[in-house]
Amino acid sequence: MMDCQPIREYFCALLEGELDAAAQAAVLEHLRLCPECRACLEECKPAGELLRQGLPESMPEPASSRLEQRLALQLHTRPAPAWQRFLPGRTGLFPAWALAALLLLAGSGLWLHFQSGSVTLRGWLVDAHCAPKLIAQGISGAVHTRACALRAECRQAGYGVLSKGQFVRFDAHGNAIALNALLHTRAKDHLRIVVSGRRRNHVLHVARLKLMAQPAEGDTAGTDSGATSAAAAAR
Amino acid sequence: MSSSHPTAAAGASADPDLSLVRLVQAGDRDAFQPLVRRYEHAIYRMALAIMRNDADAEEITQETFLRAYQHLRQFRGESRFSTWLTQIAINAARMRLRKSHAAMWESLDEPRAQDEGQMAREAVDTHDTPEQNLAREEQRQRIALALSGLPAGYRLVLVLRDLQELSTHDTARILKLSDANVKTRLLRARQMLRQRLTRLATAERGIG
Ligand SMILES: [Zn+2]
Ligand SMILES: [Zn+2]
Repeated sequence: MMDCQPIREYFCALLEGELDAAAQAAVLEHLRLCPECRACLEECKPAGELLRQGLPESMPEPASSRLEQRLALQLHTRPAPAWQRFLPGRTGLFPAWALAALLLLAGSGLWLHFQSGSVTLRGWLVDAHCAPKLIAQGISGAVHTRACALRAECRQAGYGVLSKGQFVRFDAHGNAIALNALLHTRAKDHLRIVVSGRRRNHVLHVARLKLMAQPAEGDTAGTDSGATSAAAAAR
Repeated sequence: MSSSHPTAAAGASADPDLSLVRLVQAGDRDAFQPLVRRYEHAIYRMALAIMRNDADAEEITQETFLRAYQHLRQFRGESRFSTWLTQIAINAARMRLRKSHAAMWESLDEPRAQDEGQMAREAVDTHDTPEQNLAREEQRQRIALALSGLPAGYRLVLVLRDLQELSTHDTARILKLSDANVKTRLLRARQMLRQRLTRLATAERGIG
């Protein structure tokens, strides 16, 4: 019988094309005569194609959207504003008068005609699934993506407008309009809307909703420009 | 150190990502998105090949790009950007493997429930005939099973060399092995993979 083991020591170099001509000729000659070594070499060949067959071609879509969203949060998150550092866990440091002022401020920014029944709100189009997370982390709704909003999870949760840390949900009609707007826009994020209707039991019964064009380059995600203009108008 | 000095290392001079990387390093956050889109799928597949479950693979993919962004200033172009990304992903995967060592050993023989769920979902997603789907799914399942049976140290070498197509030298550097060790493990890993596949096919024929 032939001694196969020394020959097989050369397989790696053979596959990498590192053998000199004489050694290669010797190995190939052995292979011609030895079916066992031929089978062994077959097993040692690059397995890239095999591996690719065992894996999906791409990352599944919901995972891809979640990655995009998590990155967007990271890329656009600035250090927490000073007032946030006093919130949970450190409330002892936070004077009550400041909290009251804060609540007043937050309220006034969102509502233009608080008492009149009909309201016009400006802010970011966000779904009810993602809004609490954005609020909890103090992040602008501008970073929420269209792709995320169209996910089943987000679609089924329904939509609303997020501005200055407040989220107001839409009624069924509003959800239908919002979905339609999402399906027809080319914007990927910065889904700025102006929406008007009547507010009943914390739900906005939408009469009109307009998805604004992409903001200008300087209008960064960190600033809640919708809320700012609403606040300015309220003053 | 002057940042404007053109000091691209020889290996990275042809790096197609370098211009985008430089933009991000200069403060243009939006230039990071195309890099993510270019590599998310490759990183995800690699993570899936190593971890064999989609939740871990997704988590590692997220971690990889977050860390890459956070540490991009440290990227000096000594290797390709894609190799650098791969290295980050591998580190994240190894950390996770170490944590779930016990779970990993349990998974040697039987596929986890989540693997099967994932395969079922993927089967629905493709646009081929049911027969093509079925054949592809069966093969995918077999390969996934065979792969998850390899010891982690061999699986990592196999994935870096044959899936990511890194050089022996880069693989050795990332895994902190000698070049010779990478070569030995690679051949052994390929053999183990194919032998397991054969055994699985034989077993299936025996049952069917
Ligand atoms: Zn032989
Ligand atoms: Zn969402």
